Amino acid sequence: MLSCKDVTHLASDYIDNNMSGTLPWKMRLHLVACRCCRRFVKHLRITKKVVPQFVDNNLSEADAEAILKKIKAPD
Amino acid sequence: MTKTPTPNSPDEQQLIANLIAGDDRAFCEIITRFQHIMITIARAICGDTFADDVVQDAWMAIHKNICKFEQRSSLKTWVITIVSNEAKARLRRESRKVSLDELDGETPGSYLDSTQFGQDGHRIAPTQVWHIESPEQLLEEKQLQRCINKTLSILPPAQKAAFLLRDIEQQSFEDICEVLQVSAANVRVLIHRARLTLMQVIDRYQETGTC
Ligand SMILES: [Zn+2]
Repeated sequence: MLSCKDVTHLASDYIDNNMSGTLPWKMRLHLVACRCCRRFVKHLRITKKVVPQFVDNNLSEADAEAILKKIKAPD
Repeated sequence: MTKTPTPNSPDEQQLIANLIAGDDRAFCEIITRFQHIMITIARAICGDTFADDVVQDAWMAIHKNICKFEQRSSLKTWVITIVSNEAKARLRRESRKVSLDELDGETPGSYLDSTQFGQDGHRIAPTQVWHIESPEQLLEEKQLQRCINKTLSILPPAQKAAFLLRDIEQQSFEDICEVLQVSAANVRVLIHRARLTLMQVIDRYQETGTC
């Protein structure tokens, strides 16, 4: 039987389908029985879905032009 | 890197054609898109001191070699490989070793902190209830967006790189291991820790409405 601590450590592997053998089954067994871990895994799934849509990693055009200038004429 | 050929979309192929033709606008576009992930990868591999230099060298290599890009991988994967190789080469030249101390120890108060669990491994306190659980609704929260981006900017370098490569850039676990020179098990730990830190931001936001 997995403990809540195990589930907390393994939660990303579980939602990424990165588990083999009987582990996914053991996770499901714990999740059926434990409401807190069920909520924890649910929140992790929401986090995985939402965070990437929040992230804006694009550079400004001016910054990109400055970098290009440097590439073309390195000092 | 990616073994299966990744067909580039028509837009991507047009962009590549423009790059090969020496179009500056196209080159600025890829700088806009990839500069952030490149800096993140360089920092994770060879540390802050050399990261800017490494990325500059990588851009020069990309600029020089784009005409030889054979599209056996996506443009993104190709760019990521170049910066990763530049960073590894720099690390060897400086004969430095970056230790992954981000993998050691526990962050007090994090979900993984063992004080959160009893001796039998059971949770001591119940998981917090979120009053907003719908992703669509969460995405409306501008303040939360600021909190997430702020936390992302201060994540430890390897965690940030592994997280961006996986959850944003959708690279395979196998490729991430190769790019960051980290074992598969460690890549998974890095991604998990980053997600948990970000989840904690949402936790706090749900409770207090602030970062
Ligand atoms: Zn549990």
